[in-house]
Amino acid sequence: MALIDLSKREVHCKIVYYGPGRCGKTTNLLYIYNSMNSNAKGKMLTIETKGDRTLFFDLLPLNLGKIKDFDIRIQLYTVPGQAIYEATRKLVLKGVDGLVFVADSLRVRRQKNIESLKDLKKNLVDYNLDIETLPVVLQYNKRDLAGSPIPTLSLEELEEDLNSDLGVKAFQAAATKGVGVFETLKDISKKTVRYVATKHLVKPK
Amino acid sequence: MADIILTGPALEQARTQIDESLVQAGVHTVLLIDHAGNVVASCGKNRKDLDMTSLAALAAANFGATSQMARIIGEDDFSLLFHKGKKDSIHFAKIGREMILITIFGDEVSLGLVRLRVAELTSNIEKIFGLDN
Amino acid sequence: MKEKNTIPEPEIFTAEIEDTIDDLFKPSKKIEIDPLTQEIKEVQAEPEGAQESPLELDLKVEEQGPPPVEVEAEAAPVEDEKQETLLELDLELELEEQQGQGADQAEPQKQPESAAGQAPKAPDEPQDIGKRLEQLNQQLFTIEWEVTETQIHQTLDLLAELLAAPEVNAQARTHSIIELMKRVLQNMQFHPETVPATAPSVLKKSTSHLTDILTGKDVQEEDTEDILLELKALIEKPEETVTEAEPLFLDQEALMEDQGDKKTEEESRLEEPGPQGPAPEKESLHGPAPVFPAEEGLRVLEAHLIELNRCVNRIEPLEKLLSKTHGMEKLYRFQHDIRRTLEDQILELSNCFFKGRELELPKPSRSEKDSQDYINSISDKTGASCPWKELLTVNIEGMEIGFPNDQLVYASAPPWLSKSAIRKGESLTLARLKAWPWSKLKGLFKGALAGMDDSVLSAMSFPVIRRLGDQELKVPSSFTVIILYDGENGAALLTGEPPLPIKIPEDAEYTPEMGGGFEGQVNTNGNIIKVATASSLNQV
Repeated sequence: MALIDLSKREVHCKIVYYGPGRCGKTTNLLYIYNSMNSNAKGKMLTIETKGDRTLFFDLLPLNLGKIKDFDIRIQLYTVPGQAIYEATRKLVLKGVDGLVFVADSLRVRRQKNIESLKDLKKNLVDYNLDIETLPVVLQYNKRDLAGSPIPTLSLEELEEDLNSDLGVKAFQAAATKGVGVFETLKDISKKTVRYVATKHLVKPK
Repeated sequence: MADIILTGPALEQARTQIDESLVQAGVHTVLLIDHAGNVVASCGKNRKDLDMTSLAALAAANFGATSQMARIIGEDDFSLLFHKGKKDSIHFAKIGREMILITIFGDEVSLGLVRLRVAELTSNIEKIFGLDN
Repeated sequence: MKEKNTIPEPEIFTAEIEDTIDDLFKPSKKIEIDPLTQEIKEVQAEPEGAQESPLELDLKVEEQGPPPVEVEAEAAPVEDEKQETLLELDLELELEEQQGQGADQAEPQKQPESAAGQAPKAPDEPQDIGKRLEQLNQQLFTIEWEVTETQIHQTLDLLAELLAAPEVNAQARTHSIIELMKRVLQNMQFHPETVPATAPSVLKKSTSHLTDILTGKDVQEEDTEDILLELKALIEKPEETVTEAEPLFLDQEALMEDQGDKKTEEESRLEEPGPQGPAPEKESLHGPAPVFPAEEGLRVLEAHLIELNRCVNRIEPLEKLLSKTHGMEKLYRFQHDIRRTLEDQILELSNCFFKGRELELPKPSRSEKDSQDYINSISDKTGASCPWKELLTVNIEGMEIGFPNDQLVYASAPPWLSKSAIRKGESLTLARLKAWPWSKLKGLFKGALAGMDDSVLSAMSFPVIRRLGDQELKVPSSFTVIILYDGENGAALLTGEPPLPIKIPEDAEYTPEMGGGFEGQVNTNGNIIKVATASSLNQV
């Protein structure tokens, strides 16, 4: 749900990084937060819990500044990936305007990727949202491990598993090194703002 | 969940209401947020040290989490959501299905006063934003 | 409430947004995040900018051979400053909160101050009844969340104010409701274990009923009856929980009410042996008539009345003490109200049941006398009278400092031989007070040092006080040495002037224990004298 405040001429968009546990959603946000050097970023909020898993969510507010008198704000959220946090994951998804599905390239996580995407679709349906119309991009993370002795999924396999129905743009990434992080962010931000703006601010033709 | 589009006059009206019933009663800060964690309106002392974005995101999540808890134990919702601090306390109230009113107040204001005023305010704001049906 | 706001040139608008996104959303430096610890390291820029270019899905990526898996960062970790700006909320519980609350409750003397804000009122002008009822409602909403002594006090205060309002007194039913509410609250305070969990909601209900009556709404008599019954049900409690120091009037009045109604009935049951305890009292509120004979009942009642009277006698000295103590006004009023209520009950009950019969209510017993004495001794310390009838005073740094006459053993200008040594020294050895090396010390001192031999005196030394309260003491070029000694502690002061005796009037107010080297402070018609003694100066 985008919030559009016409009195202050503010547009808020919520982009959620979704995906199985430990696939690198928080790492994406951390990378953005720590490497971006501009006033555009706000304070990053992480709810620190025991261990390195996200229990609730992480939040990174970004501000595009004034464009045609409109203040455009983007909030990046991550969901807790572990299956058991289903309730909180669904909560964070509330009011989402754009989605990044982060998939794990590790072969052992193959099933988890598939289940997480299924879980995402189900949750969206519960909020009366359609994954077909909502801006979504895929990010295949941990590509730096392909070629290492650790068994990884091939891109074909990932495409086959996750993108055969969706057919959306997919980015390769190594979030710990920043590879693909900003490409993903830019793409989903553009799509999301365009989606929100077309829906509410632009006169339908 | 429907998108909320706020118009200037409605927001202004809501702000006035909040100001009259809570801020003038001595409450520090009142935030009207939506369930996605966006700040719709803020009234009262403009505290620079208050990270409203984070507060709103956490409050929305907290509110959502407690509603879930309520459902798990077979309640529709908890009627009183309140965190008491040594000096400042925070009170949450649901407004319609889409918004949450967060009231931050010090120990010079009683919880009872906040509860009563918020109860009145809730229905007024719901009317303003057309959330009452 | 949807309202479309149109942008004249949507394509330009979105293109502009996309340009801004391209401009802003880019890394300004290369970093690396440790996948395990999430530690952030800055990485020196790599020569090939391959990773800067967007990685569109490239199906041949795997054929390119293994990518560099671990590029060890060479730059020093800069995580410290990074982490600083990262807002982290730790979910661990803070125990302080709990302690803080505990402390609040353990310090009832703080209540009067905090009370003022919680239920805002203007004490001087009579408030309209509507406002008071609203405040009462607020209080009950607070109590519903958390029952604290402060909250109960404030609520009781409000009820007392309401009871004094003519609107309330005009109707018997409003008066009864408030009286009962008052008792429920008193029970919440003194016997919380006896108060059912429904109490706050019944109190709220009663308040709303009260409001209906007082705002002239059409209120059914039966509804009021129901409210009264519900309130009464809250204040029933078994006798076992009652200890002698607790106010007993609650049970007694309940007893009285029912006895009054059913007296003849009871008399007809004289032959039935009655149980001693008030278990029937409990039943009597709703259930069948009590089953003990009237004579027995009267005996119980008499015993209770005597006990009530004892309570009054115990409260009285406490009330006196509170009335004298600054900041305790609220507690005083509270005690006062309790005592008055008790006295009224005693009077009412004795008029009702013991008319024409002399009831032997005991005079204050020994224990009450003890407490009276104890309180007197405290009020000597805290209250009006100053322990000294005369003090020797000097003016130091604008403060008037007084010393007890009997502790001043020496006050004189220093001998010129040792003047500068005394001036600078941390302590003062009495030997330095000799005018000449061959002079005798004996005879120079008064009080506890008078008559001591030189061998003893010359070995004695006292600390020189350089600071009083938060005031650094400067030593003027010509000064007087003042020595206080009480037989155990001693201290020296270097003052600009010799001490002068001053009489302390009878009505001077004395406040003990101020710290900072003072024993207390005397207020004589607005003139403040801070009293320092040998022992208090040693605590600086």
